[in-house]
Amino acid sequence: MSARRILLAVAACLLVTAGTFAQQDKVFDQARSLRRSGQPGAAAALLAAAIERHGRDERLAGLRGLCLLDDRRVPEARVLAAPFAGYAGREPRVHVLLGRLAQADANAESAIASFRAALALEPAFVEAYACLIQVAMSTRQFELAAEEAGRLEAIQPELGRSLGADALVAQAQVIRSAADEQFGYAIEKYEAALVKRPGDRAIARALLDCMIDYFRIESARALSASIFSEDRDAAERHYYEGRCLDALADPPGALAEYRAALASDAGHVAARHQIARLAIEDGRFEEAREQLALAAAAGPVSARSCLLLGLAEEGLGHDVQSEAALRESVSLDPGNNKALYHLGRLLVRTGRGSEGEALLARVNTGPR
Amino acid sequence: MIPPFRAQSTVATLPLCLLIGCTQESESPARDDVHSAKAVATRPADASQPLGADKTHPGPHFSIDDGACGITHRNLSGPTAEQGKRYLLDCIGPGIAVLDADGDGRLDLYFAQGRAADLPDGGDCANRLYLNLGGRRFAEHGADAGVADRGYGFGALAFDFDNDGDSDLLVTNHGPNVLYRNDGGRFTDVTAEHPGMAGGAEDWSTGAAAADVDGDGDLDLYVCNYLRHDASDLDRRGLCRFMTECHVPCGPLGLDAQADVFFRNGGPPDYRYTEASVDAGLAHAPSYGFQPVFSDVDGDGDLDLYVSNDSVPNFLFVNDGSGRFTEVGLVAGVACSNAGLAEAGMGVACGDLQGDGLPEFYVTNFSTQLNSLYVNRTRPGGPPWFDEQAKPVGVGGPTLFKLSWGCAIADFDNDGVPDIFCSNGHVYPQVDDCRPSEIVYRQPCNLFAGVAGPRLRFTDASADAGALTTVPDSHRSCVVADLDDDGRLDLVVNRLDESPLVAWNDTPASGHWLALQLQLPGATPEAPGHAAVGAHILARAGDRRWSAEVHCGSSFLSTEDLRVHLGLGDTAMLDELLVHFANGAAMRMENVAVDRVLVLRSPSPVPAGGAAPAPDAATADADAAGKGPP
Repeated sequence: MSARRILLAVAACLLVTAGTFAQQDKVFDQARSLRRSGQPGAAAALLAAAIERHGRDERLAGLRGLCLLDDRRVPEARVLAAPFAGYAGREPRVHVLLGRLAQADANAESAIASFRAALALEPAFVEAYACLIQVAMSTRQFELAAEEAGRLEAIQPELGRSLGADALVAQAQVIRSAADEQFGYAIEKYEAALVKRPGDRAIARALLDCMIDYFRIESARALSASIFSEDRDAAERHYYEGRCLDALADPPGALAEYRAALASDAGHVAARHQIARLAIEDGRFEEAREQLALAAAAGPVSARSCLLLGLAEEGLGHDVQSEAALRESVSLDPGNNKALYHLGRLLVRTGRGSEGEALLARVNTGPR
Repeated sequence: MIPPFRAQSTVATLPLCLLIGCTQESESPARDDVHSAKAVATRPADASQPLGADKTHPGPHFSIDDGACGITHRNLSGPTAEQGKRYLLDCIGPGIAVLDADGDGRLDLYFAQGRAADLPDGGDCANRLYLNLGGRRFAEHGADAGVADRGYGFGALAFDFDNDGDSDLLVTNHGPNVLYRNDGGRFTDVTAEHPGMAGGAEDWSTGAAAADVDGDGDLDLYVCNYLRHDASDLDRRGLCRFMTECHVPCGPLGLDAQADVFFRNGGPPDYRYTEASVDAGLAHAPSYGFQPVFSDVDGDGDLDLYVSNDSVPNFLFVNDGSGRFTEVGLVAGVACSNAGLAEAGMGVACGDLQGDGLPEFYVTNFSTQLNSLYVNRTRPGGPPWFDEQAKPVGVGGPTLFKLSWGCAIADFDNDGVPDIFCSNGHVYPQVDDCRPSEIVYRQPCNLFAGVAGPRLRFTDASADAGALTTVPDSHRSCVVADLDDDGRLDLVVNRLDESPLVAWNDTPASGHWLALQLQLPGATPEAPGHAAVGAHILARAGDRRWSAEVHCGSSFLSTEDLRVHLGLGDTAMLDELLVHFANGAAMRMENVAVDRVLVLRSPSPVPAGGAAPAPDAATADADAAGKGPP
């Protein structure tokens, strides 16, 4: 073969290869678009066909695995990922795929290593950041989550801030439940989260609750005024003012505010629950029950509403109804310590000592 | 008639046993150098506003004694806060006992004392007895009286264990406890005569309380024990983490708790104590006990037992009437928070806040755990049943960042509505280096003024009550007593590493009051009467009612005045007064004048040997009403 022919053959091969690469790129982009538009199954099928045509391609395989996971086809993703066990290559999607599978297996350490490997290869890989932050949060590595969210923020500011806020809120919730002495940190975390997601009402409510529970009443009032400043927010403003007055041991004032909240929004379930609670504390059990019935009509049954109903019924001497409500509360939230406690006491009092004692042993497993 | 608001107190069946003729009555001894109780009790001329019906009158107010009263010793508890405290042992502080040590009718004060870490032999660590000279002056008398124990002191219980009419003393220590017998103002260490009373060399005893739990006419004894303090082990551990950035003394969790001990009094002639925890049903798992108090929680006429425990559930032991107990705290609702969480119980005050004849418990807790108010909802004939209500009634929220110790339920402004006091100060000096900044080492005390009305409610009156409740300090144990006999209840508050504070009650518009010094017949002709621990008082004026019990051992590591003080507001005359004594006797009076100390002695003597009281009209009817001994 002459040199010219050889050159032509090489050129032809290169053209074919380039064409193949071009086709693969095209498939990759199409699949990515489909995935982003919420069609991971279609994306996975497209990628499967391309892999069938062109043979093994780490990039396509990695993306297909991620699409399968998005499509909740975990077993297929595992089959696809099996050949990549111990992968040390340079395709970040394969690393993310392996990381997500490790995360599904509750192997956080391995997952974090995989996500970090992906980011080492592609520092702007948003999905790797998101997964890394998520696994860090789920394993209570909040500092890591915040650090990675900060890095992501430099690439995608909105997403980075949002995930950073999620990490801070998760941290605040853990702090609140773990040790009351650290409430100040919980407030700081909620505040920082609110800076990242200004106007986020869920965060604001959590922060307000935390502030009020820990007696930072004036801060709570200021926050409530700034967050719930519009006319349509009147119910929320009254509700949180009621909570503040409650904390300041002014039940009549609190009651007036809760009623004002209901006047603005008759469907404000939380305000109605607070009115019911105040009525229970004041021994007005019938009124509490009426309020809870109205709350049930306005919103879904919750562990809290059932607990309050149980206490109201108990106050009325309706042990059977009380027990049913408390059991419902426990079934809706098995970790509802207060419902377990009151149910346990009720059962012992009504002659079912062994079951009641068992419940009390469950709730009282340790100090705060 | 007082309605039978206690199921077993059907006093309507009692025949009138008017005071004159069947009981002895006297007013407090006349004293030349102090205000006559009756004289000073006259309401000030400008106090025309009826009290109790509203809260427009000034609330309680106290003035801190500037040292003129003579109580100046410094409490010792190992290294000072500035020197650095490494052990919990050095962070608790000792208790105080109110007693009449020398029988002169004035209330004296006994202070347990810890030890100094940096001074030879613990420094000037002898316990102190201050005799009340009248005129708001005291003189230190401990060494002369023979009560200058030098152990690492914690609890101080003043009680008359031998029924001879004078107040004996139990001092609880880290190390052997000491029981002093008082013979006319001279004390003798009689610990060795009572097996087990001293406890082990490594035992850390704390609060104690006494009551006649089996109705045999003498005082039985319950002693709390805290934990095993092993300095070498603690040195190995170093400090423990608290909050996020702090390191503080370790414990109690993680250290070995010690079990409390119950002693039964064998009665005359020796009044010897025998350890009887198992026999009485009071043997239980070690639980970091701090303070017991005896009270009839279910109105069945016998004395039950409440115990505050640190970091684990509190106890309520219900007496079956024979001196055997069953623990029901969790089911009764007095063991933990309203959410079913164990808290760090420190001190406990017991008193009837609702006027229904049944006692409430106020329990002090750790910072960020609100103090607890267990409101008694027990139904007639039913088991004890309480609801924790501190926050809704207004005595919880302001204690959120406080760590409280001693406490009292008492009517400080005599407006007819009981108030609540708690002494505050964080256990760890290191907490000042921690965040958040709301939790600090030195804290002001709290005073919650009861508000008249159908609903149990308090207002935080701390800001207007004087320096005690506005100036931060390392407050610990406290006692309430009318030390200057002016009809207003004073406060004595211990401070860690500092001298005690004596806070004189100078509430300007104090209402009417009545103090009752209740006695049981003495064991000997020379001892005409001894304190009627466990007696239950019901008082009525129109539709207003009050009740109280005589507690021996409460607050925190302390003993308060065994006289019962009722604040009466604008009530210038009680329509009816009923007393049920622990020996089964009962007494009823009508048209009782107020603003005085009334001494009442049980009409039926308790025979030697502890048999049932000799029948007379009063006791026979009391038995019929179910209030008598078993």
